[in-house]
Amino acid sequence: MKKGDLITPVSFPPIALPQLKAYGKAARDPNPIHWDEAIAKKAGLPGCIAHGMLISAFVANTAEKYLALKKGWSLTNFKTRFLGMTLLGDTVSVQGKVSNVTDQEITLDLKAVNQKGDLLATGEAKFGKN
Amino acid sequence: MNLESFVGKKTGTYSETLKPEDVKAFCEAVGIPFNQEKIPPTYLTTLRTGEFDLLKEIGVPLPQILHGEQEYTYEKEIRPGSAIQFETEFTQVTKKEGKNGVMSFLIFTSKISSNGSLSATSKTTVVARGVG
Amino acid sequence: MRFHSRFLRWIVFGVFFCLPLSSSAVSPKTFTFRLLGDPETLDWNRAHTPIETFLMMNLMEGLVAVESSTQPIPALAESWKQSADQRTYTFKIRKGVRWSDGVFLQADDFAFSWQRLLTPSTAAAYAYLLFDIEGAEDFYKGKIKDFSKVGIKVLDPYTLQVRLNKPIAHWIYIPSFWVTFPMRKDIVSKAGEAWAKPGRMQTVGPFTLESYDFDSKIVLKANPHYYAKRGNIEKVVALIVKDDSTALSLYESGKFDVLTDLSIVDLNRLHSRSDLKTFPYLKTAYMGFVTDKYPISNVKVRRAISMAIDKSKIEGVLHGKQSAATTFVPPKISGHSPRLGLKYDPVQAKAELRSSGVDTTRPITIDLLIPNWDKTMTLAQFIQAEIKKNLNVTLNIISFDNKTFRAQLDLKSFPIFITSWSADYPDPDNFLSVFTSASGNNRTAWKSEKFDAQVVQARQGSSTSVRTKTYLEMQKQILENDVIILPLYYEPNLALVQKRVRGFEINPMNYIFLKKVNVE
Repeated sequence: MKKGDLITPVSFPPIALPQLKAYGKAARDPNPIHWDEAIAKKAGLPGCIAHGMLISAFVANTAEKYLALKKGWSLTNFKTRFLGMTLLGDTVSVQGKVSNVTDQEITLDLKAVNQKGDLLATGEAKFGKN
Repeated sequence: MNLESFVGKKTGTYSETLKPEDVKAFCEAVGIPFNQEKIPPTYLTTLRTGEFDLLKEIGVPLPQILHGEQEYTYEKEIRPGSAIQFETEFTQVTKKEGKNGVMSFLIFTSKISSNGSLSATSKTTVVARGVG
Repeated sequence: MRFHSRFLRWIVFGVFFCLPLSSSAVSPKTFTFRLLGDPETLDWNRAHTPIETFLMMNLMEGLVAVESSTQPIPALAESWKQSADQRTYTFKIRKGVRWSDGVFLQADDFAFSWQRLLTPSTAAAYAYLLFDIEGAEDFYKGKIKDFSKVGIKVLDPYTLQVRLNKPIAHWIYIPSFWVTFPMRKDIVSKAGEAWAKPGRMQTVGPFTLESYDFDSKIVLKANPHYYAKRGNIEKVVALIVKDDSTALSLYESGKFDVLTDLSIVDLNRLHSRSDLKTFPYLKTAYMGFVTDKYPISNVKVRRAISMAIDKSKIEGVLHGKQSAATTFVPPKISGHSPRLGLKYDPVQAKAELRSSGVDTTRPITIDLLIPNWDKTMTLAQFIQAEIKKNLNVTLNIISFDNKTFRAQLDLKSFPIFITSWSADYPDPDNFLSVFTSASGNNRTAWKSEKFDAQVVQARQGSSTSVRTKTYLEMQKQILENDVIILPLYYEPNLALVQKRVRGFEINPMNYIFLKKVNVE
């Protein structure tokens, strides 16, 4: 693993309402804009939008899966920034690269995009040697 | 709204168990495998209770906020089924005037511990539209 | 995909329900256990002996529990919040929990129990455990008649809020005590004092009371409505057997699944057996000095005695896997240190005695008070020999039955005594507060305002590192400077456990949770 290595993009199944309902319940997010279309539209949104942290979960999982190939490292820091809205039916894919490698730390830069290539979120994952 | 005067406000300490069945439901909803040795990194989002309680105390209505940024630092792995404690503090606020009016960036910091020692810290930035 | 997995789950469920009929590994079992005597009461507001504790911990649960680790974990409270000023606890009661008769548990069941615990006519030995709650002590003393003035509030059927007088670092352990377990107002109102009987008593824990034959046996059966996981024990038969050798032969013949409270005579023979299991125990045996009794009033004499006993030899005398004690606070909780306390040093011990001013040209005899148990007698004889050999001082052993021994301790009439302290809650406060001026357990005649203030200050502190530092300082004072006690040994709990028993453990507070046990 070296600086500049690309992470094979990972695509997740299209965002559907039952998933948002299940995630909202499991993540204890009380906000109805994620599952009630009428409320979402009233709030000026085009429709129900996915939870930002659901997209982060995709990003973090992609990072951990990539690093799992290299034994003995674990996630020490994860940062994510939300930049775009994810709508129902959108297909999210996560891509990225290795941005830094030292003896003690590996850093990955990741991003989540929709099927149109719009940027939804960026992520930075740091792994430390166990 | 004088948000600065609330900086430094803490929630007090919450205690609960991260139930394996809840962690499992979370993994199923995301579409990732459940690992009984450790919770997924973003499972800590279920502990935003403290942020919501503070926002309520400060007087910022939930529909006006957006999740801007999230950062987690992990000290040790947390097993599903662990009893954990956490405390959230409102640590910073910055105001910005934009083309859509005023916006405030609020930062909340949480310390999460299990078995008496620190397991993770969380830093959340929320954007409050029309608040400032 | 989703439909498929749900379908699969139903198949799995089907198999699971069939298993108890076809597999002996998970079939319901009876667990047979020894009780040393009859409980004095089965009313958990009033219970106070270890026999009662064993029953309560398996019949009932509290808001929080202290099980395998020393951290409190959610039990009947699913979660709780301590306010930023550290004085208010808000407990969320777990929804859907039922008593053994099917009635849902609610916050009122706790409020009723706590009010009853604080009511003077209940005469509960442990009522004082709630005295840190606002107004609780005044209610107990009759200064407040209106319970709504006490800081115990039911906010809604599933929320209980408690307000303390001041922050108490260890307070969260209080609702793990059996006396604070919830109680049913309807049952107690109807049956009065006779409510805690088979057929009347309802419980919320893994088991419920089936029958009680005085001086013979107590039978518990699985609570059909228990909310959490339980092993395969369907029935618990607790036989009351007072005699140690009868108990051991019942174990050896396979009648008992587990045997605790082993006698020193038996341990001598059993200590290398593979079914003898060891469980960490928060307990410190110590020698106390009554600091106003001559010649113990002389700190150099106390120091000399402390340095003249080779504690590493105690294990070889008592055979209970003891280890030499350093601090009064035992290992596994903060405030313990392996480096504090006076070390065994016979040469220095002699020098201390010579420079004490006590006339060593004439024979010196000092009384040593102990309870008349085999184990304490064996220990006292060992200490007597060490002191004779290293200091040429004669210890005169005076033993009484436990009740008289306790009375003599309170009178502080003998200069040296041997006793032990085991944790009520896994916090150093529970150990160090023994030696405060107001403590009824301080039998040393030693008092220090500074020490008292440090106990209070550390109790209210919130940072573990600051608290630990204070506890170490306090122990340096009582062990090395003022030498009011000599910690002798720590010891684990020992039990004989049959091979067919899985998951049995005695926790560091001496509690046994049979819900974790499976019998093959």
